[in-house]
This record gives sequence, C-alpha cells and structure tokens, in this order.
Amino acid sequence: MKTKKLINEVKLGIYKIRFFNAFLGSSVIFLTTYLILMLLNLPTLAISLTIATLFFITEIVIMSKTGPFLEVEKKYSVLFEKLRTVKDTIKMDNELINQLRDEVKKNIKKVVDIGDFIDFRKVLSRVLFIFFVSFLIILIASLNIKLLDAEDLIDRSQGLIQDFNNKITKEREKLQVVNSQNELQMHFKKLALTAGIGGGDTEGEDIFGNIEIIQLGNEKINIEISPTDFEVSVDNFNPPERRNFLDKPYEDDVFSDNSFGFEENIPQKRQEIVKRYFKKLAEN
Amino acid sequence: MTTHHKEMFEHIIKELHKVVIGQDEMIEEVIIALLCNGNALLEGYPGLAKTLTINTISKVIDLKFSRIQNTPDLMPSDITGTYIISEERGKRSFKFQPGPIFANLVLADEINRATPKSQSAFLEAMQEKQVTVGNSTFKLEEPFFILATQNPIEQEGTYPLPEAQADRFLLKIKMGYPSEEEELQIVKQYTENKSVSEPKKILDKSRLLKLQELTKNMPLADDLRKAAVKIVIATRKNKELFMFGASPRASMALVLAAKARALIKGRAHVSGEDIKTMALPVLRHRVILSFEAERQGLDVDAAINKIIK
Repeated sequence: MKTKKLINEVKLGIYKIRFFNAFLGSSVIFLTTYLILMLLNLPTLAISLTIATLFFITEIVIMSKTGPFLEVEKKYSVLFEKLRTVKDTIKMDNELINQLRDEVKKNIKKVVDIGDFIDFRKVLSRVLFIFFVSFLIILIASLNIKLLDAEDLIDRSQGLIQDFNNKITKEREKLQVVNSQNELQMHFKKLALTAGIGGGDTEGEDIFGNIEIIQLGNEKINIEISPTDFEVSVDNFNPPERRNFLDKPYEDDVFSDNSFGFEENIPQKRQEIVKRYFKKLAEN
Repeated sequence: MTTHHKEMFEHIIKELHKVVIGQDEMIEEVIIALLCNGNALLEGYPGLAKTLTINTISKVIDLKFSRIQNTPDLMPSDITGTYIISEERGKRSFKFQPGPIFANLVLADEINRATPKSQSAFLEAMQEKQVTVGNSTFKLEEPFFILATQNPIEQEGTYPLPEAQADRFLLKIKMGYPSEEEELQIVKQYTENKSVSEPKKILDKSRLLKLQELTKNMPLADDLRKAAVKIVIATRKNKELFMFGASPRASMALVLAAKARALIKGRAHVSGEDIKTMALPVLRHRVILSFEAERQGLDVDAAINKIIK
C-alpha cells in the first residue's frame, strides 16, 4: 500500500471517530435539553436542536485544533514526529525519506488500531444515558408530567410587566398634566401682566376662574357609570307606599314675585379687562 | 541506513576519544558544523583541548589541515596568501603563494587576538568559500571549514569579533571543564610514558561531502520548521531579554544544525529535541542581551532557554 493512501486512511479513521464522538455528545445534549424543556413546558424541539447543533460545532472545532496525526503520534510514541514528517514530505523523494516512509508504514501496520481511539467506556456510558433519557421522555410525555408551567409563568410575568409599564405611563402623563398646568398658569400670568392687570401674582386669579376648567377646553370627557348601580332586580321590590297628597298644589308660603335678572357683581373696570382678554385670545 | 550512519559517527567519536577525553558535547557540535558545511567558534578557557580536538578531527576525517595563530601583528596576507616574485628560466613573474586559508579545515586559534583587519580576511572565506587577493579571486577547495577558538578571559589586548563576523559562524560551541573522572583519565593518559594511540581515518572528503548532502535531505515536519523559526523570531521580539535578536540566517542555521544532529543520532527525521538542543549553539553569538536581562543576572544561554521553554 502506498504511504499516501495509508496516511489518508489513518486521517479518515480519526475524523470518523471525532465525528462519531461529537455526534454522540450532541445527542446527549439534545435529549437532556429536550427533557428539561419538556418538564418546564417550553418549546422543546427548536431550542434543544439549536443547543445540540452549537455543541456539535464547538466539539468539532475544538477537536480539529489537534491535528489527526498528532493525536496518533501521542497515542503511539514509536510514531512520534515521524508521521507528521512523512505527511509533510509526501511529495519529496530521497533515501532518508524513503527509509522514514518504510519505517512509518511498518509501524502503522504493526501498532496502529483505529479502535484504540474509541473510548469504549465513554461511548457505552453515553449510549446508556441516551437510552435512559429517551425512556424518560416517552414516560413523561405519556403521563403529561410538568414540573413547572414556564409558558404560563412567562405570560403572567409579561402581563405584570405590561401593567407596570402602564402605571408608569399614567404617572408620566399625570406629571405632564401638572407641568402643563404650571406652564398654563405662567402663561396666564404673563397675559395678565401684558394686559396691565395687577402684579400678575394673585390679583387677577379670581377673574380668570378655575385654571383646571380653562384647561379642559373642548376635550371630551368620558364618564363611565358603573352599570351595577342601575341594575333592576325583579326580585327586590316592595309593595307601593301609601302617600298622602296635599289638597293645594303649593304650600301657602310658596309664592312668586316679580322676577329680576342675574347681574354679575363685577366692577366695570374689570369687565373691560375680561373683554380685552377674550378678544386677545380670539386674536391668537 | 541511518543506523549505519549512527554507527559511523559513533566510530568517529570513539577515535576522537582516543586523544580527547570527555567533551562529548563539543565533539558532537563540531561534527554537526562539519556536516552543515558551516564554521564553528569554540570558546573555552585555556587547556581544554580546543586545538587538540580540531587537530584530531582533521586526522579522523582526512582533511587538509592548517593552523593560523592569531596575533595583533598578523596581516591579512598572512592568512590569504600573497603574490611573490618568482623566477623561472631567467624570467621574473608574480606568482600567487596561497596562505594557510587554502586548506579544508582551518584552525584560527585565538581569533579575537587578531586585529579587525585580519579578522575580516576570514569573512569572505567563511561565507563565500573564496579568497580575493588583489584583482584575483581564488575558489577554496570543498569542503572548507574554519574552526576558530577564543578565550573568554584575558580580554585585554583583544578585538572582540564584530557582529557581522560572529553571525558567519554556524555555531558557537562553549567548552566546559571536564568532570573529575575525566580529568583523572586525562592526567593518567598524558603523564605516563605510554604513547597515545593515533586516531584512524574514518571519513574522506568525498564521503563528507555526501554526508553534507544527506544532511540537507533530512526530512523535517512543517510544525518543527515553524517551531525553529518561532524561536529565532522570539529573540527579535522579546525586548525584555534581548536588545538585538538573531537574523534569518540563524533560522537557516538552526534547521540545518537540527538536521545534522538527527543524522548523527541515527534518525531519518528531525525531532523537536534536535531543534531545542541546537538553539543554544546557534543563537548564543547572534543575540545581545538587554540591560534588563543583565540586571536580572541572566547570561545569554539562560535567556535563550527562557525563550525555548
């Protein structure tokens, strides 16, 4: 057999074992993750498959850091540094290289057994573990056992978070209202000052009325009255009360006099100010 | 095949040990320099058999050997050779008289005692393996090595090697004192009225050239090549330890030296250990320690070891 072919065979054998080990390891990871996710009532397949794939890739990358020939050389000291030398000088030809090739070929045939690179105890324990976890998965699935409903927990926590967010938003809005009230007050005070009314602090407040009412403006107010107050219960009724009616429509002391119109008690000067104020508002 | 080479190198070392007791590391590194077709600088205290080792190596490998004793009054022409007037059949002409550099193995003893002018005479020979005298360039015979020695003490009246020249040495080999047992053996061997057996010739020039070719063909894994380059780059990047790091020439030297070591050890491939072991002799003369490293009491070897780890 040619040296190149023999070396490639060794390399292929090592790669196969590495792939098998990585596959077995990722299978263990996949099943364990699947079991845990199942017990927690979480999406099983997608997560466990992703984790197992990542594990597989990591294993392959870590394993490939050690060259296959170095692994063989570490196992068989008789091939130490020789196998790599033969691999690196495969295209060269001289008496020393030929001698080395013969030596390596002889030693590979004599001592190298790919089976030596398989850790049977490790493989067996992994296979047993896979069987055991698979059995557990089937059992748990058939009995529908769940340690924790993580999905519900997540939903609830999401609801809590949303409530909390809403509260925060409301608080913020309130704060904004307070701020805008203050701003509005400042605005009115400014207007009052420009209109030449008092010092602008307290003197004009009574004539501008309640600031909150001004602010409401044209905004709609939604008032919801609890429907329970209007509920009519058929079961809950009393017999009609006996009432005594008066002979006359009104009591004697109730009478009507000549009417008079409501006149606001605002001094003439201030009335003009109010007029000017609303005029300015209209202009703005 | 590599087993055969290993046996051959063991045989060479055995022959060298007939004369030189101990100094295994130094002998191995000198052979590595020869296999890499590189020059080596041997540094050690007097009396550690630097000259003897090189002399013996020339005998074991059957190389044309010459020795240049460097002194402050040594002239470049004393090294390279010069034109002399020769008379043949009544005709006078200038004839080139080759200097001691025209050999296979040149021992430049106490190289730091020569003036920079004379030291520079070695430069072209070390790198280009050729000598230029006047308008003529003379190719040096292959294989060609300069094995220089220097003394780390008695610095007065010496001219430390310029960086450019130090970089041309493939290895800087440090020699330590022998162990008590080895020293006892040295004393016994050279103080008794017993002739020291002459080393046998194991290699010849053509064989050595083939071995040099084989060294370059030594297979090396890409990972290890990268590791060697990373070590050299680290000397340039680590400003905490080194003021000046090693050049890319050091990367080439490190890889080549590691290959040669693998061949000596009888392997058909370079190992990480070869690179680590050869990092010290390859780098120690190519880096300059930072003030901070010196303040910490580190020497060059300790700083390089920090990088290797």
